[in-house]
Amino acid sequence: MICNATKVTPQLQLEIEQYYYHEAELLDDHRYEEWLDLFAGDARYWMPTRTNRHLREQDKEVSVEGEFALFDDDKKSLGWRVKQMQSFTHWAENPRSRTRHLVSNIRITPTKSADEYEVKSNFICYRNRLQDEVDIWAGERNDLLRRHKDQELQIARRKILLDQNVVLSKNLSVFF
Amino acid sequence: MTVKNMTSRTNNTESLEQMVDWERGLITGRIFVDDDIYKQEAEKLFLRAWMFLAHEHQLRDYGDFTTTYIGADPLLVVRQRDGSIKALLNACRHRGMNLCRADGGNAKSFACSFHGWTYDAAGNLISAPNLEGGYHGELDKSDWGLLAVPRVESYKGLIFGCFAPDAPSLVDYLGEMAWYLDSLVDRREGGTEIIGGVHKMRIRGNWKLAAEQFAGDNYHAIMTHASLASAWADPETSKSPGAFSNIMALPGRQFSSRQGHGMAGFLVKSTSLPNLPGLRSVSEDLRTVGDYYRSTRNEVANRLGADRADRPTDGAGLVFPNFGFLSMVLGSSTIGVLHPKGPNQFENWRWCIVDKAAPKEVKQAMARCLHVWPVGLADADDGENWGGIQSSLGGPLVQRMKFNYQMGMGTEGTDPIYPGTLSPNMIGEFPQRRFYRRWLEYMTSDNWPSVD
Repeated sequence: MICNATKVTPQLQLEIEQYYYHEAELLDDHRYEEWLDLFAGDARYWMPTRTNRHLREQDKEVSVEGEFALFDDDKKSLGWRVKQMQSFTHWAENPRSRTRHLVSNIRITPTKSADEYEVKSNFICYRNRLQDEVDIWAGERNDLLRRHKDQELQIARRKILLDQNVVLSKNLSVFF
Repeated sequence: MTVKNMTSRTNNTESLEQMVDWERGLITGRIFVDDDIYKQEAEKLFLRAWMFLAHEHQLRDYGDFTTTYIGADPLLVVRQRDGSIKALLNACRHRGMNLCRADGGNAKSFACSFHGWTYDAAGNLISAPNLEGGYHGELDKSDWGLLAVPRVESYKGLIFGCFAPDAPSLVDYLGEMAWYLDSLVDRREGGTEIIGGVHKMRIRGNWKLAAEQFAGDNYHAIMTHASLASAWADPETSKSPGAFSNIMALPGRQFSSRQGHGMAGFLVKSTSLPNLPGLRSVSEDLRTVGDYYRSTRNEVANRLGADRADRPTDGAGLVFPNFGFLSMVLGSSTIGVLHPKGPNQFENWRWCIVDKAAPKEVKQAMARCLHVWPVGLADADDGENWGGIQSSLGGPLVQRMKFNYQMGMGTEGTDPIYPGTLSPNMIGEFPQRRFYRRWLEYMTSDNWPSVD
């Protein structure tokens, strides 16, 4: 079995795609509280670091649990970031950056639980800031999506692999 | 090259001494952008000062290596078979190829990907293809080992390297700074370790802007990090423990050493950051960390004395010129180095440092508290400011402008408890003035700038 195409209905694929497009819109429109609402109460938002390794030690390329992470947030600390984004004194985002989140390559794997899906997606986030500052971040998201009360999807877990070694932007005052 | 020649080439009528008028607290913006000044720094400062290389925890076993920089030059730092540490120039002696292109790992030899010159963990050239046939047996391998940093010394787990034969030993170089560093690296038996992994971020700013901030700039926190208060505000009362404008009013000190090291912190028992009552309500992790510091008080007192146990030297600090640390600030401690990448960019490398003897759950809580710093609630706005200064330094008028470093002039003196030169409160700019005083001495002296 090369892919999960036969296990995923077009309807589910469509639903999750639309879910991610909605999420991208919330971020690009700076509707951060609504974005935060997408996360389950027990959510974890984690972005490990990436290092250059000799190929025989490639298994150490991504930092693991307990090691330094670029983000390691629960919903509470993610909420702090959201509140900061809305503050008028968060200079990194006042004036606001212009962002465009593009999400693609959505790969859904059903889990043993009928209400949960492992979903991988790729992203490119473009940021244009002040006069001429441009950052482009690419990476992969590994999500656990959970159907909440038989209806709305929630993000129960997100692991983000940012495809950078040295983070090439002056900050990461964006969400992925 | 004399200073006079250098400045005339930049078509600037000011000498370095005029640009860095530290006594009057006036610094000319050009020192943050000028290519010739940057080249001068590369030779006169980075190749003469003690420069941070790694934490020993990164290099536990024979063959463990990490790659880093001294100034702009790439280094390979390797644990040796006998337990010592060598720092080697990470450039093949044949064509200068970047020999090791991994950030870290374990290797007993390093083969150049260009022609295959191969070095052992000590940097000795051990083989090269076609050695006999091509060089007629006349290439003496012992002449062609990797260039080594001649002096590598550690202070309680922190490894530094120095190219200057006439510089003092590392411990003498640190001087009074060691007393302050001990509160970070020598609190408990076993010393410290890093939690694994390093964060590296490229900033479009001059490295000195960040260095001087570590050395003594608590002043910026009030405005730069104002949004931290919003983030942590109680939704019902809107009161916030993260309000730096309140914290700044608390008693504290600034320290500066004649070697240019500096620190600004809270330094008073009842108001030390881990124990600030308001902060304890922010998160369970901050409570866990605060409880940990309190529960280890007696052990610290036994090791370092009651002064440092009860007046923890928590805050931001700088070992001159570019090793910055945050000691016990808002739940975590980080160490790091500011690698210059030309005059207009630097890389901010950070590690999370913890007491080796701390329980696992405390280490994990400290790691989670990093959401304040490296890419978190605080540092994002520092990056904005450093980049913004560099951005406005594009033209001659701002480059000629005198920046104001005059806060708290004339208040410094000595203190019965704290070694070095102290100011009686935590906000001021005397460590920054003395940072630039030291910088100027390196830049304008032919011999190693002794302070005796």
